[in-house]
Amino acid sequence: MSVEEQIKVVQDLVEKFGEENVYDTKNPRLYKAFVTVKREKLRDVIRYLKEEHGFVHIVTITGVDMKDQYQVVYHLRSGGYNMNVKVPVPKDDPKVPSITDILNGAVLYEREVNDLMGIFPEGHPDPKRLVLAYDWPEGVHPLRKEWDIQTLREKVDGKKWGKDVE
Amino acid sequence: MSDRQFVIPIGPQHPALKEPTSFYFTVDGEVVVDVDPRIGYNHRGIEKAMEARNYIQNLYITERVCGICSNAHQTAYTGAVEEAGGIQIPERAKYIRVFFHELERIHSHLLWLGVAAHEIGFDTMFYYVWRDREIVMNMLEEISGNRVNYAMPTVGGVRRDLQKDKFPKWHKMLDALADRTNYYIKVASNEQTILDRAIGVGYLSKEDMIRLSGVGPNARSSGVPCDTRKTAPYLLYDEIPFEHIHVDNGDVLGQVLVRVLETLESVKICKWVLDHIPEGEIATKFNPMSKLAEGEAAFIVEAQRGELIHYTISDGRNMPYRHKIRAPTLANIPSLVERLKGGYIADIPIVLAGIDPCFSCTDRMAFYDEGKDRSWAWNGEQLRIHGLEWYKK
Repeated sequence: MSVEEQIKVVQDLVEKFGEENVYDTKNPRLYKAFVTVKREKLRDVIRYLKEEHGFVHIVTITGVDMKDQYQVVYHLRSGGYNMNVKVPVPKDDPKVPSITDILNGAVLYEREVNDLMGIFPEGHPDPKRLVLAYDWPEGVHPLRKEWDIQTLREKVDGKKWGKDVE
Repeated sequence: MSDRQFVIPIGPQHPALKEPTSFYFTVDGEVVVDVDPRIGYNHRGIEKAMEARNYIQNLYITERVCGICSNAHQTAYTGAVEEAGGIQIPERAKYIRVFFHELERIHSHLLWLGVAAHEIGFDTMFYYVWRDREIVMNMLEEISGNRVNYAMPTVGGVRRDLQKDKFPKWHKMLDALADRTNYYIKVASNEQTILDRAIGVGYLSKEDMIRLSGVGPNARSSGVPCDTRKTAPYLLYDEIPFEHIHVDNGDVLGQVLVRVLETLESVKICKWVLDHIPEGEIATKFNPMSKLAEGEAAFIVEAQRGELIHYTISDGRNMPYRHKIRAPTLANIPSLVERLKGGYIADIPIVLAGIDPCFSCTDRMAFYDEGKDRSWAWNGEQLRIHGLEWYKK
């Protein structure tokens, strides 16, 4: 596969869904692409990529706290071609539609993002905790930037971190 | 759940291995009906810790994500950071990185082969394989000074050079490894002890494997050609001649075959590197205090257990804004669950070990007999012995 063919896949996506829904596209090198997609169109884009361009493999899902908003990155693969679909998520409504019914491999990754970044996958078949302990306090999502080691320690252990540690 | 079905919790603690994991098995008699995995017992907050350390300090954190794939994690991490920051590395450094990537694959696959032989009760083979694995361990120790955590890649190159006068000796050691691996291929495909416990056990079809996004030798044993070194070559893999190993068996035998055949290819690659390595610098200078350019990169490598991704976002400081790691075992859990369904309790250890997980097969199992209020517990060794006894009948 050449870079030109890869750029065509991204262009096809922009043409199909429109520039207002698929934007900020990048092809930094062979086998790599980054696109940003509106949350409302996420499921359609994932389904279109799977059915038309063979992106059947999901590598992982990353949640990122971008200070003014969250971002969920879906790392998809078709053979060697790695497409990274970014979805901006507003801070006051941290939810994304679940894609587990389209790509079954996403089942654990969505639970992981829900635990660590607090972005709820709507429509997930079993959205219980995956990596956090059962006695971890509700509403504490450690990878959000508002939590650092001091505030986490106070919240979870009730102790200050640093000088007060015996 | 009917009266006939029991839930068996397995795990999470195992004193011998890192990364404990718990499984809740629903069984009907001897047959596994459903499996519910639960991970996170060893969640160390590495991604959070990396946001507070500079790129050189993070090198040592990524190496300690896993003991067996330490070098694969560093290869992926340095690749991601160099791509995000636009750092070029010298040619010779690429060769040394590939050399270590493959040596680590040899040692890991041989380790797995020994463990798999042990799980099916073929301990003679376990001792033989681990004896031969010492050859590659000695090589790793001779070059890096360590048997695990070799600390070879660094941002901008590698930390230690290969000495030219040792090359003939290493060629001989690699030949010995290839000899022994050829012998194990013969054993694995002919020995009845292995075939009885491996053929048809933990079967998963190619379609299901693609659907569940399995990776690595686990997926290649079901016929999915997914070796990142071939599909999206990084470092030097587009220049190196080697075979893309995948078999259509789909069962434990397929996993054995994929790994022994890959070991042979890795030996080939190591010998190719020793023959073709150019002279030159091994690293470009990278100051830990210097700022990295703004950018992002997703770097995927083929670790010995499968596809490994490091995704880094730099906001122009000397530490990552966000660094995401996804190790191959997590990707293999959905397909492992499917492999276990419909199998026997006696096959749980070998199917679990089959994906080469970072956690052990089983530590303690508690059996609850729901209807009769009866419970008992087994540890991993007793479960293994149960498996051996069960197959003697």
